[in-house]
Parts: sequence; structure tokens; C-alpha cells
Amino acid sequence: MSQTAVESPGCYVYALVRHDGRPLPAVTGVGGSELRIVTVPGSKVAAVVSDADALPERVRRTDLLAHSEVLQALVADRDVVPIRFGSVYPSDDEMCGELLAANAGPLQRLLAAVEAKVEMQVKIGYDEAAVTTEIVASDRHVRKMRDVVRVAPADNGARIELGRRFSAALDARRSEDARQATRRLERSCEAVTVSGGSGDFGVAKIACLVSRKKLRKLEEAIDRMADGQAGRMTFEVLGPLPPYSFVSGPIAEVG
Amino acid sequence: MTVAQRYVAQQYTGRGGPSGLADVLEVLLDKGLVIDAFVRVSLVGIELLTIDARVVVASVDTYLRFAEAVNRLDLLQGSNPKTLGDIVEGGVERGARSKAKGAVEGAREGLSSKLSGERAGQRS
Repeated sequence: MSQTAVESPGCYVYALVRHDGRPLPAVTGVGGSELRIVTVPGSKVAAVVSDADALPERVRRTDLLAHSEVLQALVADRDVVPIRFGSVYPSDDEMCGELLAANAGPLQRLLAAVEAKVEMQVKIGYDEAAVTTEIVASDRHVRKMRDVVRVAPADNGARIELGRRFSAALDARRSEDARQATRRLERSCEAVTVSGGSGDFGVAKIACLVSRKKLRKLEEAIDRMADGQAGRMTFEVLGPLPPYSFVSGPIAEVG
Repeated sequence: MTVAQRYVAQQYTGRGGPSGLADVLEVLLDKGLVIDAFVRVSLVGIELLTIDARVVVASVDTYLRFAEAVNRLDLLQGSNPKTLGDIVEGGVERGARSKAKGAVEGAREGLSSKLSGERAGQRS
């Protein structure tokens, strides 16, 4: 872009929304900037943006949180296609041309795909003592190595072998539990994406795209699962969120 | 009844919950529509962020940690019989926790209270 046009403060994009004249929520953007709604004539999609010059050179955690708060405020009362954190155009005009006008069709389809839907994330983990007890009780290879280690606690080779056996047993259990949880959640929502759990005893993180009307039903399904697995697995639920995991990637791939 | 811990993103951004906040930030960095923007803000300075190791790559280190987990279990179940006091305490704690749903502080349960709770369940 031409160097003479650097007068513009830049256009930081948070999200795409339906262009329906609804007023913006009363929150500020990154760096305390004011939110604006920008669109092009004839478009049904609008972008929620703010000036980018309030962004510090090194973005910090507070900037991420400011971005998150804008998205949470938007998803509270409208459909949202969240944009990846940190996306800036040189000016509103360039954003309009390169994003809204150039991708009118795909963006409208994306917005339709998330109509009246939100994302709920379910993070599942094992209770360490419970799953360890299970594995020791059910796997004779693990038990055998445990007995070896009991007698020779300083034998590193034996400890590694015990851990290796344990790890294999845990992997098998984890993939089965993740599969079952996914299947149960699938029944109560539109779509799911599954990723690995975190830490040694994580099971899975399952993002659910769910219609706002069926939110209660999904939550009840999660509670029933948590109840059935009490003491064995923990369930943490995050949301409602904008459908981050379901519009993730370049427009050409997800639009 | 045990209820899943529930977080609303807005609520806990202010509270600085241990695992929840990291989860939201991770989503923000990782997910969302990727547009052909002119600039993507550089993410230096986000080193404050703690993102758990995602997929655990099996390594000698992991194996040793697992061996340790089996060992810990031995210690807990071995020469350490639970007293009635422990069992009752475990039960009470558990009840209180399920009432405090949504409280980030309630997310972690002690290993020993878990075990005593379990035994109380088996005996009844």
C-alpha cells in the first residue's frame, strides 16, 4: 500500500456480524479503543472493528482479554463469526474492499452456518488416583512391573518399563473414554471438534457447536456424564463462546 | 449430585482462574477465522501465558512420572488405613463442592479426599 496513506490509524477486526442495525454493546476494544460497525453497501455482513493505533507495540495478556471481552459481549446478543486475534488492515476502506466485498458469498454462508448457535467447550480429565487404581487392577503387565519396582526402587530401567506399560494402558483407556464422551455429546449438539486433553491425565477437549435453544439440553447431558463418572473423570465446561472452533482457518477453507 | 465445573468466559476473565483463563487465551490465539489481513499483531509479550503441553509426547520423562503415579498410589493404599474422621470429612467436602459450582477454586480436589470419598462410597 502507498506510504502516503499511513494517516489511517488502522482497522482492527474482531468479528463479523449480521448487518441489522443493532447497536454495539457498551464495551471498549483493545487498548481502550471505541468499537465501530463497518460495512459495504448492499452487504448483509458487517465487521466489528476499532482503531488499531491504540494497540501497544508488544501486545499483552490484557489485549487478549480485551479482544475476548468484545467477543463475549457480542455473542451475548447476536450471531458472531469470530476473527483470529490480532488481525489488522491499514484502513476501514481496505478492510471493506479486501474482506467484506471480496468474500461476500463465503462470509454470508459462514454467518448462516452459525446462526443462533454458540460454542461450548468441555474439557475432560482423569482423576489421577482413580484411573491409576483402575489400570493397576486391570493390567497384569503393569502389576508385574510395579512389583519389580517395589523390590528394586532404584532400578531406572524397571521404572521406565513400568511407566511405558502404564502409558500404553492409559492411552487405550483415554481414546475409548474420549470416543464415548464425543458420541454422547454429538447427540446433543450440531457438530463437535475434538482435540487432545492437557497434561498427563487429560482425556480430551471437545468443542460443541450448539443451538442456543438446545444449550440447556447439552448442559444436562454433560451433567449426567459428570455424574456417571464422578470420582473418575472431571468435566469442565467453558462457554457460551463465539463459535471459535467452527470457523477456524482461512475463509477459503471454512467459508 | 456431581455437577460439571462450569465457567462463563466473562466471569472468570476477571478472576484469573488457574486453568480456565489459560483455556480462553489459548482459544483466542489458536482459533477463529483467519483473514488475509495486512498485519497480524506480533505476539511477543504473551510469554506470560501458560499453555499446557497439549498432546503428551511419550518420553522417558513421562514414563518416570507415570511410574511415580503408581508408586504414589501404593503409598496411599498401603500402610495408611483411613480413620472414620477422614471418611466423614471427605464426604462433607464433596457435598460442599458440588454446591459451589462455577467456583474456579473448587476445580481441584485433593488426592486423599478423593480416595477417602471413594472408600466411603464402597462401604455404604
